[in-house]
Amino acid sequence: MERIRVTIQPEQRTVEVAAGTTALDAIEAAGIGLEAPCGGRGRCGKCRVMVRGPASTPRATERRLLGEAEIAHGARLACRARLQGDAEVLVPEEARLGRGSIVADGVERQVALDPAVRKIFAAVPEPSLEDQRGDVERLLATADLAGCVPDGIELARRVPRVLRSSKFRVTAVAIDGLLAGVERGRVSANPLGMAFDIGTTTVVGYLMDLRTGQQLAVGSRLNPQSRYGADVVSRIEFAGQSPEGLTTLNRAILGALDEIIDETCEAAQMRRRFIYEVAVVGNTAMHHLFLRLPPESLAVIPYVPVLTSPRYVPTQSVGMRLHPNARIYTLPNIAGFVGADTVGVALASNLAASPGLTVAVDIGTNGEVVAAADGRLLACSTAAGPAFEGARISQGVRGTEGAIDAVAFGDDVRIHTIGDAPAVGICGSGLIDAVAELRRVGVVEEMGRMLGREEAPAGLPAALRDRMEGSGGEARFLLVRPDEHPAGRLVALTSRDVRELQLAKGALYAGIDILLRRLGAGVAQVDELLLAGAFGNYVRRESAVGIGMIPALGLSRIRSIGNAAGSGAKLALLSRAMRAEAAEIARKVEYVELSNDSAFYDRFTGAMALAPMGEDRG
Amino acid sequence: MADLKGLAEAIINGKADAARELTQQAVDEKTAPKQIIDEGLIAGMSEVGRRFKANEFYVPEVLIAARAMHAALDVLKPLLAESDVQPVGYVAIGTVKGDLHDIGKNLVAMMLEGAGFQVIDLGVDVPPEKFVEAIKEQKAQIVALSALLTTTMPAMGDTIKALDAGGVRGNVKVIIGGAPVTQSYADEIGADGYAADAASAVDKAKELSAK
Repeated sequence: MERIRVTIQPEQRTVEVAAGTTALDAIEAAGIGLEAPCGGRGRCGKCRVMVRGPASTPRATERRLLGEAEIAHGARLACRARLQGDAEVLVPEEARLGRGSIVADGVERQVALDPAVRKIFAAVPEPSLEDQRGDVERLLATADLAGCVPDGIELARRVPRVLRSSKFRVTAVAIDGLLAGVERGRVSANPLGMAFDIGTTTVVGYLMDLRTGQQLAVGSRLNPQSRYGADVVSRIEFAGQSPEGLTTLNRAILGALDEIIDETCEAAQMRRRFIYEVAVVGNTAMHHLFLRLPPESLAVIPYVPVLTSPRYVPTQSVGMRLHPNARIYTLPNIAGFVGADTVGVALASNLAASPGLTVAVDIGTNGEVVAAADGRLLACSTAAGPAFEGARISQGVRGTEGAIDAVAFGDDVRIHTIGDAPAVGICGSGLIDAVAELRRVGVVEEMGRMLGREEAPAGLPAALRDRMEGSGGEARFLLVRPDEHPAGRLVALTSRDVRELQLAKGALYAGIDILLRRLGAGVAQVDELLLAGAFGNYVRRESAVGIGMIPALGLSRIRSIGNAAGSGAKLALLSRAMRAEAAEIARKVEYVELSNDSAFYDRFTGAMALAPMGEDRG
Repeated sequence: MADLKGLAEAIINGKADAARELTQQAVDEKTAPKQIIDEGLIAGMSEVGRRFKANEFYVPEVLIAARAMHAALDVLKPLLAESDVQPVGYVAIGTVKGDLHDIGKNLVAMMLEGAGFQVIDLGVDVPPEKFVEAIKEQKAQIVALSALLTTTMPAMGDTIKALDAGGVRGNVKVIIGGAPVTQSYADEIGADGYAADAASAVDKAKELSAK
């Protein structure tokens, strides 16, 4: 019976089990307690985990309990998924035994639930000649609330009918101690919240139960603003080109957010009217375009934003249709190019409290890097470009179903796609793996040139050599041949794709290098390096080190923390204490303007090689 | 016998240390600086430019080749001052006012140096007056302007106007480049030339120098 190795994240604990073992058994073999109230019979849907590696195809039970969208993002029921080869299983907080802490895939931060939105059941005393208080006042008194939300007149209009049609037994919803909504009877549904991570290329939304802290559903979209420019600067230019430019960009992102709201509510069988609060993170430009703030000043020296402090905005005024009195909380920005999403990363990874020198790297279009040491927090934006998120890569896609997210070379190519679906393209983590492997076997040279088949290194397995096509600037490598694909499609990595990745990773590395120098430290002093990125972008550490995207630290010092920006948005949504901490982080961070740093150009040039970088002596 | 072919190879392959050593060797063997530049640096960088145009080399290779060329040039600089090696031309280059982007501009500067031009790099966020100064005080014959944003492009027109006002427009040729820049924009503001990338910039500069 074949034995396989399963690594449980984020503990990084590995066990050896027989092939065909369920993820649930593997997790328990690793000594980790998993919530499985139905005893692993596939009835309750509570044992939701993320599986990376070959596993059995999800069948009806899983599809019903998890929903297609979740499965498309790599989620499985641990009791149903049978692992067929070496795999990684990520056990999120909410599936662990003894919860009550906040969900944050891949990021271990336990925080007490302290949402701004509360549901209160009120048995309101009926009016009488002795008690002639107004309807609203008696409701507020019973529910022990200080007043109504500002502009709550529409609410007041509803109160009399709701009270009298339910024998004065109602469910009130309060935001920050102010009445925001009222429903008849004892409503079992909990107030909901949305946490959005508006990335330049990928937008992710999480539907959260504000009472239990549970994540109910997740949805993602390509940021439709991409049509008007792949990167932040070109979008800002578009906004400035005509009076309608900003409105067009604003409408585009609101449209995507609305679709995600639809999708997640549908998946969780919830109504959007129960969504009372929305927390949003995004880089500064995305933040501005979302709030329809004029972004032009971001693009020219000295790159100042319109607004950096956190803000509460009624959803109505932004054009989001949720509960009429719902509000948005935007996390603070740090500078023109380092925004609320970086604050989210720092918050989720608890960077400010880390004991030694910790570096968090966001592998995305703007490539933000945050470094913490000796009570200082430094941040920079490396403007890496959208290669990590699939853009500018010939067959690049987001981390969605069918995306190749892992690649390994043996005698032939082994790929893994999200959802185990037929390959539709390659996403960030797959791209980094592919280039790392191509480098390892010598099909791509250190300076980035992809060899043609005639130049194939001696000793290269024939199957690999046969996947090499073209030459010079037209060289490409077939990760999936047409005969290997049910629809006869092919997926290839081109020589140009390697160049795009090279430039992106060079910028990222240079940014890390410069922040370390500013802290007076070298690679050897880094205690931990955290890799964050858009949903589905779980980058393999060995590959990231192999191509010189991050310093060559021992693997035990590198940790993937998934979509930490999104986790930060979730934390802020579910805890007011986290909002205060976010504000503190933004105040504390020292922003480093790379284009002003004379060393950047030299560091960038020095980081071009696709090879491990930085001396590491353990 | 100085290994100038090896020097050209070192530059093409971006080997800065080898380039420095081979240049020093050539100097120690009393090879004429002009020959070192022609057969080592210029030969190397023009091959880099050729491969770039042929899509064999891309920005990463050009960056490291330029760095190797600079290493070689650093060794030669003190000798050039003493010798009578004449540069092909004098170019004042900079990114226009309001714009901090410099990688593209640096590439052009390095390729121009590799082609034998003497380059006066004014840096980034350069106001029009500084270009006028460079012409008057450092005898620049070509002014190369770079901008990466449509919002900073107008500064190119402003610079040309300033050259006019400074009475030096007739003495120089102006070439422009940068992602949003086009030939028609160059025509519109009265520039003498436009180049889409570093390699063509060198061709354009040579063409305009010959006039």
